[in-house]
Amino acid sequence: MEELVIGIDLCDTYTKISCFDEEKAWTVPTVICKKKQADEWYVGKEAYGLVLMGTGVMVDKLLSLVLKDGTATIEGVKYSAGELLEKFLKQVLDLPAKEYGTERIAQLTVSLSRVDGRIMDTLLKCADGLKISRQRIHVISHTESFVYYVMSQKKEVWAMQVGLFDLSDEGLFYYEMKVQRGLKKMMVQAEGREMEESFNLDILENSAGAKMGDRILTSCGERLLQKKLFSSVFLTGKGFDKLDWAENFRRFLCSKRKVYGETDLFAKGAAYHAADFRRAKTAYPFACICEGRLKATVSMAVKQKEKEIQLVMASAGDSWYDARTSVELIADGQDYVDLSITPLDAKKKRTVRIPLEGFPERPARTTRLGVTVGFLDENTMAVAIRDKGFGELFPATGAVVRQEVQI
Amino acid sequence: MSLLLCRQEAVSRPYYVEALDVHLYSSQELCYVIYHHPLLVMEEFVDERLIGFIRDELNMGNLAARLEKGAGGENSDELLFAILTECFYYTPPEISQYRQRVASLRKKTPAEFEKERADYLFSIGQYGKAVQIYETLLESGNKPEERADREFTGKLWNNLGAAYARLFQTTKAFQAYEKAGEYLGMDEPERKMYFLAELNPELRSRLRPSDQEKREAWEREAGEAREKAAQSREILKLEQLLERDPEEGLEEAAELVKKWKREYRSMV
Repeated sequence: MEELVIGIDLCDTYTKISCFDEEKAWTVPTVICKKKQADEWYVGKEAYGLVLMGTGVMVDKLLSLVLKDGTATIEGVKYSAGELLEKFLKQVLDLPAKEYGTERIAQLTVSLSRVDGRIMDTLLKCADGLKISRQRIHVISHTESFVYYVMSQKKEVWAMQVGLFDLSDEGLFYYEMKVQRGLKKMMVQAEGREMEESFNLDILENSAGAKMGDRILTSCGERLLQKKLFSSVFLTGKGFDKLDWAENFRRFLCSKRKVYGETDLFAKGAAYHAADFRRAKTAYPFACICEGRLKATVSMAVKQKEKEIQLVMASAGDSWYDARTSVELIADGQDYVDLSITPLDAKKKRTVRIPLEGFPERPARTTRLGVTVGFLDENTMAVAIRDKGFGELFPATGAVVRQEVQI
Repeated sequence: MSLLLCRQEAVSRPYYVEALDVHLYSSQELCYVIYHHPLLVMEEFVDERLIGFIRDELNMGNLAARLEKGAGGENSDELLFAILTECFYYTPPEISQYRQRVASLRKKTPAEFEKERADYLFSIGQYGKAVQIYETLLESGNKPEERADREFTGKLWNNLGAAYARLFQTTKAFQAYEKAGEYLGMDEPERKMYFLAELNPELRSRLRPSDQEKREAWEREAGEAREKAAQSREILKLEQLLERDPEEGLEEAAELVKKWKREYRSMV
């Protein structure tokens, strides 16, 4: 293998690493350990070994630490959460590097349970520190990993609805996806949520607890899967490593539908996602509507060469984090900008008008507007419109209008 | 009412329009100048430098090739229309209006056209360039002493005087008004000559005797103008600053003088 195409399932408690087209995958707890009096860092079993021997200092729950912008002081040195995450990722990336004899990373996709801007920013900074080009690192949600994993299987697997139960130390999650064909572009709609019935995996250690776990899952399954046609249901997570404790749940699932178990589903889905960036033409020609992706298209009516066109600033299915577009427009006698927001249900299309307050009055067509559209999360669009003047004829004033819009 | 989508034009070396003392950074600005200043662009505007800008900076190779082919040809106005059409900044009806404006300007005699051009340069503060055109017209204008030509020549002298006056070249302005008086009668030129003499006392001896009433009226007018100038916002601000903080005031004054110098240089 000349270059690595890696998928990482990065959670607060565990991390899974998988390489595209390779069976082998690694699972390590998301902890980093520093060996005392040495600049050596360890993950996984080695880390726990050092702590047990009293020769290491460990920091766990690295994602939570990033989310609260926390720090950890080890032997008198304060480390930011980002620094620790970078050290952790370095160790984690060493696993496939050692296995396949190359450190070169062609593409890397990180899958997160919940796509959060702070974690994404931190991951990009980590990539800088690890000398991985920002173009080669991608961040997606578990939901999207699920979509990529399923869409990489045979068509019969995703002919109808596809369900996924994820049971791990992080909790119990349920995901569902459906492929919509017959549209201009194939669309995959997926969503996932944490179930209120989550339980601690420790209860499965005794038979009473296992029975209760089975009952909980069976009741969830009946509620979630009834009245819908599923072509397949997947099970993933540490909780499903063994299924002997969930006899009723298993029986319920396996009637009328195919059930697959995949321990490293999110990491493998991430690796499929990463591999697609190496292709000249995507192997996944669909718009993906799921967590981390926009659920509406944002456009503007503009004139180009005398023709009126809809200029798309962001499309439904784009990653909200990456969706950032800037254009230059010239206002011809209008002191506002209208943005059309078209959700999947086109009947709910609406227009948001942003008045150009504080902009100077000039003759028609002598105000160039710099319009930038970005997203703070998948539901919040941030629009900035700047007065860019009209060269030296009408110099820019620096006036700017900013508005957040719920889409 | 609409929003126009701009072409992506990464201009690193803008195009300088000397007559307006501006640099152009886009095809839209170029169209704006052509459309709003026809008198500045109707003579030798589309040259090698402009074609180079269109080709290399605006990345409009086809238009540049078309202009190259037509440059130096008989109908240079068509090149301007081609630029307006290709850039899609103005609508077809606006371009056809522009065509009509250019056509009506072309109907003028060469001398009238040049005077119009000089008057336009004067109106945008390009007094030095206006002077050059007025003088060229006057040098080549040894026409028969017909009434219409006399009036035209008189206006040329008058406008030359006004342009020199704006450049603070009071003696030359005085002489031009003297000549204008010969062609148009002395009423108006005399008044302006009086004001010039107010600015430059050496000219007082050259003033013709005029009646007392007129002089008093002019004197009042000059006084009012001085008063108005002293009340200008820039001056008042400077005076206040000098009073409050002489050092900062002097710095401000130096800046103001610098600005005036810059403005003056762009007029010459």
